[in-house]
Amino acid sequence: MSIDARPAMRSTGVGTSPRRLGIFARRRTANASAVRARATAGERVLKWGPLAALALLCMFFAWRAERFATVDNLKNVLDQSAVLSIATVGITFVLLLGAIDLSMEGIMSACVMVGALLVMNSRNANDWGLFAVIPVVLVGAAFGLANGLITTRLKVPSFMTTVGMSAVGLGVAQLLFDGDQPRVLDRPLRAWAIGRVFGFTRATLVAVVCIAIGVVIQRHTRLGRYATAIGSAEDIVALSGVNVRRYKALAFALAGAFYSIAAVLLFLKQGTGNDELAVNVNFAAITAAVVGGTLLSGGQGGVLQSIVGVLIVKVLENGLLLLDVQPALQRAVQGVIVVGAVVAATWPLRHRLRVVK
Amino acid sequence: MTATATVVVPPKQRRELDALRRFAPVLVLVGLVIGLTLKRSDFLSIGQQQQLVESAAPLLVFATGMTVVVMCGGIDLSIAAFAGFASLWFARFVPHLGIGALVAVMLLGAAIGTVQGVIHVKAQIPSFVVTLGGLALWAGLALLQDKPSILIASNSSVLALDGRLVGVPRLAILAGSLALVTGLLMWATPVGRWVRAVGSNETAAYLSGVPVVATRIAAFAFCTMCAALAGCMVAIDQTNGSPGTGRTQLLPTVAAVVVGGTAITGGVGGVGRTVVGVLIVKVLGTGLSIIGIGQKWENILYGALVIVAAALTIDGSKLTVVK
Repeated sequence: MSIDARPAMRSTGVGTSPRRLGIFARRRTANASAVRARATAGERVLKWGPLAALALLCMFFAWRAERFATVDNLKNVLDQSAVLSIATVGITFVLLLGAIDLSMEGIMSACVMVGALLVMNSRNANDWGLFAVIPVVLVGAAFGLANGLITTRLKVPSFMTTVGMSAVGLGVAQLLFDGDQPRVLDRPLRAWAIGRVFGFTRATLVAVVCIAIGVVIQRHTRLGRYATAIGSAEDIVALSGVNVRRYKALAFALAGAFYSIAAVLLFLKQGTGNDELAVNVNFAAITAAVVGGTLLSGGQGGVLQSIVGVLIVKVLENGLLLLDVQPALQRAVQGVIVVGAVVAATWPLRHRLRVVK
Repeated sequence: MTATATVVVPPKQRRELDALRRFAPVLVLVGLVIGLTLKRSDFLSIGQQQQLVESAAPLLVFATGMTVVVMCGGIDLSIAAFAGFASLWFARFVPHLGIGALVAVMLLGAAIGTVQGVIHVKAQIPSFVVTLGGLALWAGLALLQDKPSILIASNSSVLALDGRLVGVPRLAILAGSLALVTGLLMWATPVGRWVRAVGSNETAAYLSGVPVVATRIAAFAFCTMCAALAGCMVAIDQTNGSPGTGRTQLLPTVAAVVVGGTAITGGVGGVGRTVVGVLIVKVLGTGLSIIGIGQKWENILYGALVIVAAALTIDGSKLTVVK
């Protein structure tokens, strides 16, 4: 059987490492029932834990900070969550694969500059209005696709590819910035973006639409279903005939497209194109996704879970600000939260001979 | 089921790949230097070289530490953020401890690296996750203090390190000796074999008695200690410690390591290669300003360099699933 298996596996481009087939498989079956019992308890925590945490946080801040539980403040939290939500919907698809995307800041910076230079601005004669969204989304998707192709075709691990791509995106943004910040002069467009509908800002509504699109893609398209499957067991998905490389590359491209929409909101809200608008978004998005239950190990969670995470991050930010805690401390806290959440979620998988790089 | 379907690279091809990794960077460096000398005849002058070596010193220290971690098959994304954090504490310690502040901060670095290593190894989560969390933590903590930077008094004894010894910058001598000692340790002691074994095949290393856990943790401790030293060096050079110290150095460091020929997949590489990589990165940076496109392209260059070099040096035969 092993002789027959070889060429088949090689033709799909996927080898199977000894730890999937050898002693480990046996160890796992021996403990299978115990593992399953733990997994169901774990699944329950993963499913309801983040929502419970969000509710507890809201209750705590409503008790400690008197300005927290007002309608205006809560609408404010939703408005401030808009950009991060859209970006997090994007990164969720990459995290579902079990890969990571550290290029968000670079891609968003490049998109901010492209967009700000295409609408009516103080630097050139362009006046694309809302149509500027189309080239911006194409730029974002192209960056994402480049990430995906480099990871799948050249076999460079995604954290490495995307660290490099982040620098490339930032470099492109700096070239376009060129020491002269373009101000957005298209007043109707800015007024549209900042304006309110039923008391909610349009940014919030755009975010809700993007989340809905994300949920539909995740649940009802091949891309979304395969992304989850690939994150759970890439080699098995490949052996069942799915073109893994294509769907992985597409997931990265989709993520890039979502980042670009977040970038459009970012520069319209800010009113200027600046290569430093997107600083710290990437880590906040990873924190949000992980805290919400979209684990870095892949295959688990989804868009809605990640959005619960975004709300946790933003409620925490807002509440701590109302309690006069320094923003710098929040970044430090995010760092601890991410590592803590990952440790807690993967603790049951620990094994003496497990190889983690 | 004992036969597994790992793609086997024929020995000849593997040898060629290794030769490429070993000698191509040197050829690239020689080519760059020749090209730049043709473009500008004073490129090889002593003044230019002193400047180059001086600016390369912190990068060499960062990259020496990173090399050991990458050879184990891991990565440390927290070094640049930690260097900023370390430079602050260095500037804070100097009035009390003098040159001892350097030792204190390096010990702090080793301790924190150990913690990051223990979390990575014991909780078995990928090193880039632990160190990404570390990046946010140290960057956040460094920004917590009230002042934007802490000055090192101009009569302070540590600033003597900034001078030159028979024309060679003292900091560069310090960086060079660190690289030399590390290189010797990796070449002549079992430590080097352990690191290579862990990076090549961790399971096999464990089964043959290599202290896998200790090696990995020590690698991360060493890497963070190097980051602390690099942060102190930049602080001495700029006579202050600030959160932004070394902030931009993560990408050049990774670039230097992979460009030198250390594979990001682990097991293959060495400190000597990293020295070549650091020189390539620095000469390229100088070259950019010589041909006049300058700093604006720096980010794009480093980004592309990291991706291309990582792709060229990766041992595809070892990778089954690339995440």
